[in-house]
Amino acid sequence: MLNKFVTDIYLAWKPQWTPQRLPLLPPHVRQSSRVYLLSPEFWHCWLARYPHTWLWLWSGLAWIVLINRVLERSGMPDICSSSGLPSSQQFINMVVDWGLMIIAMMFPLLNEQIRHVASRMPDNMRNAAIHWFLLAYTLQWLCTGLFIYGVSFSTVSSLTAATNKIAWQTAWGNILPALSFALAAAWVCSPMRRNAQLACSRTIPMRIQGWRARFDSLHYGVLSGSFCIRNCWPPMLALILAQHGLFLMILVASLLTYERYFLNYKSRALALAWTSMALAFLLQSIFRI
Amino acid sequence: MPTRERKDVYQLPAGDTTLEWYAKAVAKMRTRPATDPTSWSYQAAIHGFNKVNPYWGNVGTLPPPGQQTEYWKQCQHGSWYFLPWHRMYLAYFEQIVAKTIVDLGGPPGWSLPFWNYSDTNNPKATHLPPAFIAGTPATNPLQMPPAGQIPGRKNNAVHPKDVTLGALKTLIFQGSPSGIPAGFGGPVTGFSPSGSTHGDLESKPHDLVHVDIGGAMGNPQTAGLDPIFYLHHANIDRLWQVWLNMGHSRHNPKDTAWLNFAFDFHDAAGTPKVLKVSEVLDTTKVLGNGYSYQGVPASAPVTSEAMFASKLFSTAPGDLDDGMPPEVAAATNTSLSLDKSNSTTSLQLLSSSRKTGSLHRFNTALPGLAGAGASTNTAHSYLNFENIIGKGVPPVYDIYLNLPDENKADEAHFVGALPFFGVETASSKDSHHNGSGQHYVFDISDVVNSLRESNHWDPQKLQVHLQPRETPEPGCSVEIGRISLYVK
Repeated sequence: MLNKFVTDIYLAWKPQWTPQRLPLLPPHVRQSSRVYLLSPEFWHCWLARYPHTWLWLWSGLAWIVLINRVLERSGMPDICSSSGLPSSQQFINMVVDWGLMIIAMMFPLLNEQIRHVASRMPDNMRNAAIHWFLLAYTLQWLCTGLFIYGVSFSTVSSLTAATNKIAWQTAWGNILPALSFALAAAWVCSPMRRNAQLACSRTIPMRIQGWRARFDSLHYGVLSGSFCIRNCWPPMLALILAQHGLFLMILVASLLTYERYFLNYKSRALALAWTSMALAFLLQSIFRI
Repeated sequence: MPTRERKDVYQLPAGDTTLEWYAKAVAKMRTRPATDPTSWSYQAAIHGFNKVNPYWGNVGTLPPPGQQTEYWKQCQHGSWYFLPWHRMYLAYFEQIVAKTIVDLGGPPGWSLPFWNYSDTNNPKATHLPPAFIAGTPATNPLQMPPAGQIPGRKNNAVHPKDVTLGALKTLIFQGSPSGIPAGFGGPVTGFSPSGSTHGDLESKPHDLVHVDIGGAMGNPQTAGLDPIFYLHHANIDRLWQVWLNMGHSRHNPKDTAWLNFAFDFHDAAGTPKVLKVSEVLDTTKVLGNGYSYQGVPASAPVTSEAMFASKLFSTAPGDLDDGMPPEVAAATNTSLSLDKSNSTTSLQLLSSSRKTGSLHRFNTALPGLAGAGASTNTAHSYLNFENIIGKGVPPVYDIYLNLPDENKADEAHFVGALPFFGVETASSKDSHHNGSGQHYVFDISDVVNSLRESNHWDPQKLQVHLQPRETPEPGCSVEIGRISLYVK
């Protein structure tokens, strides 16, 4: 009933697309007048044609959960907030937030990789392979994030132990993000970044049967994760040091996505954006805004 | 100044001085230092450069690294920018040669001729034009000078089966981003000096002509050093216009990503210039006065409105394409290293998990249903060679399917040839390449259909045979990451 209702609305909106000419459906499906837009067949065809739907779906969900968690706690977990070891609950929160942040911010950048996985796998394994890939990709980022958290935690702990915590945060709280956004700007202009950017679109041959298909999907996920970390580490580091302000996360994610899909490879617009953000943090630090 | 006409090199009238002045300009440009954007070396390096390659042995002083990064090694291969980038490159090259000729006291308005090796009315078409092989490299600037003991070119002719124009039958310009099918002009990519699947026109005749001539022409890093390179590319550029003129829904992409993509060059005065793809779609307006090709009407690009109208009211089969991607039907589990002997690999065909879909229809297609004008059961099938990496300049490998005798070539089983043009470049990881290697796609629908009809089709497995045309040179290697069959 609902299927028919949705299909009727769709056809009223696009009257020239009769069921026989629905552009998303293969001819054998179009020939059936009992095909409706909410049918599994429709979504099977949709995901075959637009496999990156998964990316936007997961990313959207992650943003919703993140925003909800921020509203609940009125702020992201602060790795600098405690001079002692985080409690197990704090640690779990940190891991969950970091994972959500990767899914929300990084998944939209993976169109090319997902297209590769989807096009290399048989019809019945496509969606599973995409998710094996995404799992490995997220785990790769998660491990790196935890390592950075560990290093930051020990560094900040030792510094705050030696000095007054509030004085330390006042002095360095905005300088470090400013420095790391300046580093991100320099990184955009460096030849190493060009290599890292190219590596992001690297592909590997993928086998299509049984455990080999799963293994290759995982392998490609790990590989893509490491290329992605190599390419995007400076702005992500800046985000960590800026204590993950939600607005800042949305801004950085938008800029990264815009650069990936709309800017010429020679464009320095992203460097300009990171420089502006570095200046903003610097001014904030100087004028204690 | 009127629009120039680029002429067929084999139809230049007696007494025509086009090639004579080209030779003089080449000689003059070779005397200029590589730091000069109008020099022969600089122009060749825009396409490709490798300091350690013997053909670049005498390059001399190089421009600063920043300038090299910006302007050198920019050629677009395995990309939908392949055709527009080479059009821009030729236009500035032609402008530089024309100015050099005027500076030497020659006539104004020189235009680059084209080498139509596919002309079946000309029995000598597959041979290099005589002006390019006359004399010696020391006396004739149109010869490619050797690099020490390595000859400038390996052959003076191309194989007739390497210059057939099946690519013109392809209706869609841009291939799928996954490269299957590859499209007439190449798959959708970003900036891509070698990265993705080679488009139909690029694979054949473009790549095969490069490797058939061999020597400097066999490698994108050195190809621009050979004066015949520019006549070869003028012909590829001409075929783009020929394809557009064939109509039947053939048109250039309308995507803004393609139209607005810009590339950097230098003009005849050595001034840096930026050109957008949208600025070179009408050949009669390229760099102002533009050009046309002898025997090929230059039509203005189709407008978006006209294209929308033609799509809306057209009943051509392509318009009913559902946009569904082809499905993988078989793939190898291991990579395949090619050597001097014939190689055979077996692909197990998958059974379909669903009662609908491309794979199901391919598996249930009956002999006799296939072929031109056949029923809707007709499936398209593509043989895909993925992530090919290698070293050196490998020979061309002919591809056959299900050969009854592995050591005996049978044209009924022939599906195409693997040129590996630029495989070494595509295998490297640097500021221009990601090291994924090359990809080639062959539409094998006709061969599969004829094998089915002649009972040479095995529904369980597909045998792919690769036969090198000549013995590989020492130190050269090729590894194919995956061979797969796709159906739609």
